[in-house]
Amino acid sequence: MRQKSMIKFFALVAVLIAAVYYFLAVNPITNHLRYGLDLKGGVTATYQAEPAPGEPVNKETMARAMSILGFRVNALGVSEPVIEQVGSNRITVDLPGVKNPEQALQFLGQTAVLQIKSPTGKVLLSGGDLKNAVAGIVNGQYVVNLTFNAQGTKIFAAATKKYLGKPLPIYLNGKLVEAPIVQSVIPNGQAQMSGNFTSLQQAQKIALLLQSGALPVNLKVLDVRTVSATLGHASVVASKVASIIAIALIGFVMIVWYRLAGFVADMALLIYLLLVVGALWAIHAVITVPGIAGLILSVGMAVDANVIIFSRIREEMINGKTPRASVAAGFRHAIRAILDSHVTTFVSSLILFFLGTGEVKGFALTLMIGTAVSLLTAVSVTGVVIRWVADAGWAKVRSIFVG
Amino acid sequence: MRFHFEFVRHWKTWFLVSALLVVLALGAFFIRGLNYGIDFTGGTQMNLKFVHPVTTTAIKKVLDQDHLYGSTVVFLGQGRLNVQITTPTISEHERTTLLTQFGKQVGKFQEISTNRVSSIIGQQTERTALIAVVLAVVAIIMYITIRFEWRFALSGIIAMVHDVIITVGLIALIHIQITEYFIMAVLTIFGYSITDKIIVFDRIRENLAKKKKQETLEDLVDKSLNQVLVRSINTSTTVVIALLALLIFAGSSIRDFALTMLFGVIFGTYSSIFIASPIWLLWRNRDLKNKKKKMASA
Repeated sequence: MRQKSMIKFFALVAVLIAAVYYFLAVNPITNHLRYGLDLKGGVTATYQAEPAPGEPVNKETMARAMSILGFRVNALGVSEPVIEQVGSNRITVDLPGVKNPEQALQFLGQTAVLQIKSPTGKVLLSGGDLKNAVAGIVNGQYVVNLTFNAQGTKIFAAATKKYLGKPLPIYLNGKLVEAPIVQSVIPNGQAQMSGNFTSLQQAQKIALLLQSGALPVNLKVLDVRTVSATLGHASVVASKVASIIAIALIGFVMIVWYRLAGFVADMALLIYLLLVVGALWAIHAVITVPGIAGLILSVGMAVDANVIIFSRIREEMINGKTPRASVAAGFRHAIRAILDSHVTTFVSSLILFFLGTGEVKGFALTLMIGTAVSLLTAVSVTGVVIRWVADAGWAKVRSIFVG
Repeated sequence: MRFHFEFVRHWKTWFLVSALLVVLALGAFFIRGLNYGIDFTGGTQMNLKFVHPVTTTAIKKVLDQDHLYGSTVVFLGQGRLNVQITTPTISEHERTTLLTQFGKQVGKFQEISTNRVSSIIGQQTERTALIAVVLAVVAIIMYITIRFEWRFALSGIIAMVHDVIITVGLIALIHIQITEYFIMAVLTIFGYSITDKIIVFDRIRENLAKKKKQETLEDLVDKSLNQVLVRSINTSTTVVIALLALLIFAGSSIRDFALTMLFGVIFGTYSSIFIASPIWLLWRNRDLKNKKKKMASA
């Protein structure tokens, strides 16, 4: 019994040292986490969708707007962009590392409504009839080559036949771009728009906007946050330093207060941290500054659980119980208070998570995970290991708790 | 170490201290008001780092040229290099002109960050936070009522409201700018404060179950408070350590958060012992007396 407990204890210490070494030095777990824009630099924007003529804001139009935004974001060549719907009518877009955020956002929110009208002003073809739009140079002029889909090709062929020798005006966003005279019937669905593009890039942008289709809703920018990469980097370093110092100090204080038991608490805290970070990694959570704050606070909860357990065990020992009996009774008493306090915090963070926005959500999520894992490690690590310590019958075990 | 402090005997003193603090906090809140940041008011906030030290006057001059009179200019850190300029909401075009003018008239700079927020967001953040708070309070009251009794739930909530009022009052007094982080901090104080009270109430509940006939309720509460005292001090100390680390080493936005939390933790710990427990005790004693009276008259 005694030897077995000692072996288990030292085995756990060894495993823990190995794990910490691995996740800190060999394969730093922090390299695998996703960081928010406040830590990485970049731009976050929140758009509010407002109904466009004939297009209400609903699930379907929002989904379409999101996929169009996705298409446009990809065209920007941003790595790891995130597009998310918030509530029923908002979309947030995260663009890490974008150099010229305002320009990028303007491009994203732009509408491009293409219309080809009859000489009498009737709309014949619109953006929805397009199959493709590609920029090119023809005779030193920048143009956008339009290719219609099957239905568009048919309509276009019929229109060029009907209006042969007459102009077919092209409108972009309601503005007349040009009114080319139809020279011949075009059966293959190819058309060219030669507006007054001043550069190839401009033509490419229009082509891209036409390709991705018109946004079904109007997007109004509500909120833009830009963080330079240097500030982001400084925040990461500062948060890391703050976390390491806080955790080291807490670990030290626990050993001073509770000696061997404090060491057990530190083991529990290490396992706790590995589990929480592991959970954040597993669910692909985005680590933000508020998230780190939530994490440090949940460390406070985890420490509290250990403090409550040890205070109880100490009391039982003062009352004259044997170490093993004290551990059993103290733990039993402690766990009820721990459960109640953890459940209330968990419930509040749950409510925060569902009602909060962006940053509050990140904070609530880490607090939620932290609280759940704290309860788990208090029971499984502190509870079990402290029993091993008591079983091992180390001579000084009494003085450890009573002090 | 064994303590025996007579906490509840002096309840009048504690209540008086707390009442004074609450009045002062409310005074600060209503007279001085909260310093709402652009998260709530809407606006544009630019964080620029100039190469050479600059003056507020030079920046204000440029702002005045553009008729941005409601703007504020704050230096962050030392050396008058890092400037935070908050203006009413301006368009992208206006911002670009403004930045060009800064470059020409004030000096070379690097743009660190920019936030542009419409006031709709702030108002909604505030509203959803308020809804979250009300829901959380209801949930907490329900939970404590089920696990303990409703007197505990209400005493705890009263003490927690006391903590939040004093903390917000202090923030109003030192005029820290209120951002979304502030809402987070207040909500965390909420959680921390109620957690602390639950630990104390748990002990009272436990002792209540083992109560001997001749033991008065005052003695029982005092005993319970002394029993949890070491834990209260130890836990608060560790949380304070973590917050101090944030306060000293982390970035400026988190610094305000940490400071708010620090106030909250200190008052949360205080009120669990000196406010929540006496309220519960007085309440329960009064109810017991009424019950006795009823029985006597019946």
